Amino acid sequence: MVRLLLCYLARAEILLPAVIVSYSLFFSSPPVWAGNIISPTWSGFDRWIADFDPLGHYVKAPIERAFPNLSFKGSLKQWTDFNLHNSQSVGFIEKDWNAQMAQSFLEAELRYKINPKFELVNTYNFIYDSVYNWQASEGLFAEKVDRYANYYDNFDKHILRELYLQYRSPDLQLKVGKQQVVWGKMDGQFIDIINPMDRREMLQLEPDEYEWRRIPTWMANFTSFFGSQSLQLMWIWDFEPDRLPIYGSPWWPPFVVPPEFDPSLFINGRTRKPSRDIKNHEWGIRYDLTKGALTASLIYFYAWNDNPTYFTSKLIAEKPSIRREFTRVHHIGITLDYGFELPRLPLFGLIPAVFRFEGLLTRNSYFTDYNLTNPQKGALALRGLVSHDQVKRDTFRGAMAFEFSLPNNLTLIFQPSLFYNFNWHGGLSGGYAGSDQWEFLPISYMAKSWGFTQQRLLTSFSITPLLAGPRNTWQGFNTRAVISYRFSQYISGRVIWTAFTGQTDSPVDVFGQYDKWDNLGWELSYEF
Amino acid sequence: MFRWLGRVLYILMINVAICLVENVLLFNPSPAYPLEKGKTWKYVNELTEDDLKFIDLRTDTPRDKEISYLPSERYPFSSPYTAEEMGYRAMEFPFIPRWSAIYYEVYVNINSNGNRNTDKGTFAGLYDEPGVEGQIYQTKPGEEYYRWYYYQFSPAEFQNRQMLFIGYRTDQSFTKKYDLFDYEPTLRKVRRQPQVRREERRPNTAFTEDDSLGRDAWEFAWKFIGTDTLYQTIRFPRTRKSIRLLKPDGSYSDIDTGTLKVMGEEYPYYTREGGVQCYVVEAKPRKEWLPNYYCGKIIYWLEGHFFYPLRTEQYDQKGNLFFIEERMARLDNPGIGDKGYAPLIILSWYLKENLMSYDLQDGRQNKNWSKAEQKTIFTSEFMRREQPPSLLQSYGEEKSPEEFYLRPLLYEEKFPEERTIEISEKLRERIEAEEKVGHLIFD
Repeated sequence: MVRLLLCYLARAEILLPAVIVSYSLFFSSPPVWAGNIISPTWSGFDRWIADFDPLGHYVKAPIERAFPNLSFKGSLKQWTDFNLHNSQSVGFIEKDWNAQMAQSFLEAELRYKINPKFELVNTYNFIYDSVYNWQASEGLFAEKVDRYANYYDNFDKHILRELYLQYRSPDLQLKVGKQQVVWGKMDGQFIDIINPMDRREMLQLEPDEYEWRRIPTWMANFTSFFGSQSLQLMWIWDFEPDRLPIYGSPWWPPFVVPPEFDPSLFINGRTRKPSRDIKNHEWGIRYDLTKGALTASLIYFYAWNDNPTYFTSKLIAEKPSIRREFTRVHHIGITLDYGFELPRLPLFGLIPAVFRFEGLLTRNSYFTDYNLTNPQKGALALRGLVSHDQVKRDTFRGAMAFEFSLPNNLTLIFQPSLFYNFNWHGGLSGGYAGSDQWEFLPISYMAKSWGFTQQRLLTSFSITPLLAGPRNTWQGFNTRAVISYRFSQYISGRVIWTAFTGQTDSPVDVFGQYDKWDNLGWELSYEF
Repeated sequence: MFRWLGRVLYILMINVAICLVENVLLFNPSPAYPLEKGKTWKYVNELTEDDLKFIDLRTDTPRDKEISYLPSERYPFSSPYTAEEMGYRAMEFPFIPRWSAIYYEVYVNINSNGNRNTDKGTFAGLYDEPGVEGQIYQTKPGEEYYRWYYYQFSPAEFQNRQMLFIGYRTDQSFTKKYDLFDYEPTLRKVRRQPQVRREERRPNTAFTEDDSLGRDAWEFAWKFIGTDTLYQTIRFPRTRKSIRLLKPDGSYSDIDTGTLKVMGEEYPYYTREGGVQCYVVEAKPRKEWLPNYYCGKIIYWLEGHFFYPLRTEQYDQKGNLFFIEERMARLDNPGIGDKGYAPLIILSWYLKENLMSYDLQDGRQNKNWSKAEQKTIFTSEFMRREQPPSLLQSYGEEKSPEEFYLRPLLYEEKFPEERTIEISEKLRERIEAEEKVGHLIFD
């Protein structure tokens, strides 16, 4: 008997799994199939997914155990948008795709504490957008223009996202290396101007995506803290421009033919970035103050415009010759927020609220002045492609926001935003407000979390109308409805409906030109 | 053929053996906790002459000349105490102790399916004028009296998230409880957020903002209900034999869960059977202070000497019980005497959603923050640095949903004239089954 038992024990490598499996399936209380993923019930799924963190268990935890001073964090995201319209031509575009975005995103963040004062931070990102690969579309060909539209292919520029060394003492912080720095307090970009942005999603780019769309650059960032005040100095020697949608990508503006593809133009050389000579570096300063219920920041940034200006120099082979150059601008800005409570109202009770304001004055922006333009090139100039004669103007963009915390987990934000060009006249085109003197966007946002789901279900709705003047008064509106659900502390999902409404065939209608870009999307996010 | 039969038999035998060990030897199905020792509670009219020596049953005592809503007797009052005075004394013990300290928090929620969320972080508090005395006499309405700073470590989504609360003394003319600054790592911005509404629950959370901030006694009308002896508050399940706790010196130790007491080791007034005598008082929101408040009434079990709130029950406007909070406390700051008790574990149960949360406050170190620390850790812009005030973390959480604390007992037999408890048959069956097996059961 003992011999037999030993004989079986010797085969433990076969028997042990059999014991475990049979015990789990039939003898354990409750059996595994009664309360986990195999269970058809929601409760079984809910319990199973709460602890579903494979990369946390098998990647993050072992790394952090092996290197006690290292903290590891990562995320996997999947963003998919489906266009809700039939295939059709819009402007110069053959809009014949179903999936407008099918991006998979991976991020890994490593933080190594060298000692209590020094820390090395390193972040990697990778994005793969499969819209170019799994659907037959003539309208989508951006991956042939630039592989960056398809996936991050350059380690230094795209995949290595952040790499900086930071020193911290009670009253100082110094960060040197590739990084992103965010200024401002508002939703949307007003004084958040330090880093350029990947604007591949154009009008659909949302503030909660800036973290992954901002383009980090190499810089030194020094902050001194003194009580309720702080002073930050920025020295940026690595200039990167904004990355606009690539021609042939889903969000390329439908009424614009890129100059490179316009046979009536002659492109005089590539767009040259400023050299790394010290005179071309960017410099910034920010001062912060908190006093009671008020917080305020003042900023100044001597920078390059994130997008090149198109100068027409001369006619070559009967074609206007386009030279694209980056130009210097001065940014001066302010942001403040103030917390208060509205007096007690029937049904609402006391309403906690916050007021935020942000404004940016930009000096020396270039505008095309058609009044100075040779009439023969007027047609091209009207298409906004030729900037024969440029003039400098100052511009302003700003917004104020009122955020209210209403009963039943309801949040309401009203954020009127204004874009304004100073010394404007009817011959000018360009600047923040396009060919108009001003644009006004009264944005309304409402969100509610639902108690019966323990606030795990959040719904939100926003509407952004665009008014302008004095030329193009109504430029359509954008609506967005989101249903998001937190499956667990690691996994969340969202379904998003986005619509653009306006005058479809108008190239100057900001939202209207994307009227056929309405889409339904989902986002799945796993953070470990 | 026989060889295969032998293998199957062998597997069967091992399975049966494991079942025997699991169900008979390890998890004896006797009740998890001894039953209460007879009738432990008394209504006011059942109290003896000796009991009544320490309490003052009046509900309309004289008012303070300067601050009309405070009792005229100076805090911390003296025996005999009115129910209102006990309410003021209980204010001394909100979620977050009223003295400068740092501690390591584990905050876990669990729903009826067993879906858990675990948040971990470091909490730092700064008080210039500690205690209730500092709040009510030394701070004018609208003036700041505390700063709280929270640095979150997990889950990954909220790693490096930070919050700064600047708290204010309130009254009817100044109602804002605090200014809130929030640093979201994905936004990389310090932003002021509206104060969370007092009746609101944060996502997955059983307790409301008011439960975590603490309530001001002057907003309520107080009365005595009686006395009771509590033998247990936080109850560990049978599946959890030890808890890893952090000592103030930064080291960890595994503590036998059976050795943890309701008011900690140092508490001198345990009854012979290990119970804690409590006053049971009722607080009803005053309409002029809290119109349309979400609770119709709150019943507190206040420890009989220091008035520490060991158990709190909330009833809706129809009078039905919908929320229970229980605490396990310990003396974390002996330097300030009986005011130095602080929570080790606070367990909340929101009956309407059958949702439970607990807050474990681990490794508390009392602090005398230097000027430099006050000007850095407790200022909003400092949060941009993403620098935790300490690298320590608590590991006091359970490893599986079955190791979560047992839900608070309902004590349906106690004070039936004052307490209306209507729960579904399904919930009742679940509670009975849980008490039998000694751990939570999920849908």
